[in-house]
Amino acid sequence: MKLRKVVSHINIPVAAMSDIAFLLLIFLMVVSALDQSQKLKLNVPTVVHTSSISQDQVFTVFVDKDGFYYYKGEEKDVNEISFLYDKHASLFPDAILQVVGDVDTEYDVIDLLLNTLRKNGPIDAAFIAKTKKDEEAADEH
Amino acid sequence: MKRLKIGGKRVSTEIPTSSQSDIAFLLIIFFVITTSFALKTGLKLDMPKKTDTVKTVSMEQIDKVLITQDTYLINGKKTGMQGLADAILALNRPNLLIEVRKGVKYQHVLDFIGLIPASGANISVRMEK
Repeated sequence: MKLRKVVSHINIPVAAMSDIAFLLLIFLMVVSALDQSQKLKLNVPTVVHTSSISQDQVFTVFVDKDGFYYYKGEEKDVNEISFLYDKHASLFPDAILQVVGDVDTEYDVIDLLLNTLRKNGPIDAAFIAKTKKDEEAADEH
Repeated sequence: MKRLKIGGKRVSTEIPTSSQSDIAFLLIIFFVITTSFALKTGLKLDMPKKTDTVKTVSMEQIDKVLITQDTYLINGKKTGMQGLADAILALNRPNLLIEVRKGVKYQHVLDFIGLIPASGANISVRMEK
């Protein structure tokens, strides 16, 4: 009896691989948030000890060295920030005000922000800062 | 597969897409490597809660600190950056009233506030009147 030679071609379908890769790429680009402090070129103050700040329910205000306030990349005045913070705090009861200031920002500006936001009740706040170690690590990069 | 006949030769009209996934994965690898996670660190202020009651403290129980552009005055005594940590630890009262002079830089204030957690003191910060 003559045996029939079976020729099999095993192929892994790779046609959809580029679609998956591009979908992953689009997902990464959409979910990644831009670091606003880099956009504003803020030089964050240095302190002796820092602790990590929880990013849950956080309300971040950037204050540049000229004393202008920024929220989500847009310049706002202190009353607008106060209104937005109240709106945020009504949605998130454990809201934390996160102040990202520059070393050359005058403290009066930060004080005005804290006092304006505190008018409608107590607030939780954190000052974003880095340690000397963080600064050295950043310089190496 | 469609083929065009150019000059007697048959040429494929398909765009080669086999390297498309390589390009996409290279782009992903580039983004993954260059992305830095924004880990936020800083000074967490332990602020009074809504439920906390107001405590009245007499001025005798408070140490006063004045922060000026170039120095710190702890109970009227001039203290530079060096020896500041020791001066704060030497204070035996748990309440500090920090007054900041107009025009003082944020970094200068944080230099002082950053040393407070080690002393465990309660602080109140306001602008100088």
